[in-house]
Amino acid sequence: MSLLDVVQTNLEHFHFWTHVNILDDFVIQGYPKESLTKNTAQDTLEFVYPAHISQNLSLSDIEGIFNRIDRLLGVRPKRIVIGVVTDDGSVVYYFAHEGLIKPSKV
Amino acid sequence: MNKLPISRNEGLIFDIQTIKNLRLLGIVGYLSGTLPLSTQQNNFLGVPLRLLFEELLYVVVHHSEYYIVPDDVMFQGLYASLTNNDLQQIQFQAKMSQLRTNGKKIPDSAMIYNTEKEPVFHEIKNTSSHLPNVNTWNDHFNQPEVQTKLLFQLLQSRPNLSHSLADYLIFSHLRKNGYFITAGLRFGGKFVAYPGDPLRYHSHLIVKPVYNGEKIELKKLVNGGRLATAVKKVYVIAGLTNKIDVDGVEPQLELDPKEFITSLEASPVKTFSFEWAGFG
Repeated sequence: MSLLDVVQTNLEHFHFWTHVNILDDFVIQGYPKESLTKNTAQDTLEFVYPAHISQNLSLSDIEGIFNRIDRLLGVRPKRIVIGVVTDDGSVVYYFAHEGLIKPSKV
Repeated sequence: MNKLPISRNEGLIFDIQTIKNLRLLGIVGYLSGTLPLSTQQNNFLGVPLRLLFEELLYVVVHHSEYYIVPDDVMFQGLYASLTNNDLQQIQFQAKMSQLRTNGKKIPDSAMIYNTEKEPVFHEIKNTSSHLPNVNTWNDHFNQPEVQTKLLFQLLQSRPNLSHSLADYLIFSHLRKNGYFITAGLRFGGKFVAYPGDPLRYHSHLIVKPVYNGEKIELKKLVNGGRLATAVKKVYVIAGLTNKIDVDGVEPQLELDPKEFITSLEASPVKTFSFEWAGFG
């Protein structure tokens, strides 16, 4: 199973995301069961970039993900989700925002 | 008082008024003085205030009213780097500004030292303490030419100048965005950034510089992101879009370090903020 498949399966069947599909063979889009942004009820489309824990990313690699989504859809997301895959089957998810942000309210 | 005394290539400030003024500029530093009789007491520290290298550089570059005052070692380095002509020029400037402060009307054109002419002032030494030292030179340090040399010396003292400059540019980027910055080792980063004065706010960012377009291990991102989220912060990786080549620019740096650093600040700093997404 490719990284994309692992993350897609995890999102669909473990976190119950809906309308999950792979975009241009590099990023996964879908709607979370509950909004990931605190204090907002509306559903927002999230983009998940799958990566293996052993990988290294440079700043321009991360910028490249934003650029590619921008080119593909004509909208530049404020943030993306990086789905980090390990060999033991666990997947962890981290937000990557472009620029500096405030910590989200808990 | 706008003096920034240097001790072993580090800013070390004893003057309370200067500390207050720097605080208003968003320069926090850290108090490091303890009691001579109980040096283990390290909860309530007092003067001197130590400045991070980035803080020192920021003040010198952005607030020209502040100037570096070297310690003995640094002064010896400065004195050794001066040519005869430099020396005459420095003495000329000092004498002229002294005359000006004494009320003599001297046109600006006369303030420029002319190397073609014979020196206007001949110094006659009548004391045994005429060997140059920090004290006899106290009036000369605020001259721009002397400051240029001192700043270059400070930059040369850095073990890795390219990293130091990258750190500085990230610091400057944060400062320009209104953040107050302190050292970040406590949270595993280089800097911790506060949205205002650290006495009033909790910090928002743990900042990790990435040098020369290097890659960062995802494991470190997971580490940093998880820790930052647990303490209500954000893990920020920051780096320069353009690579700094320090070797090629040495002459430029020596000629006018302030100008060079200001020109570097024009090139953008790229930042990404990481947080745990709240699931998985």
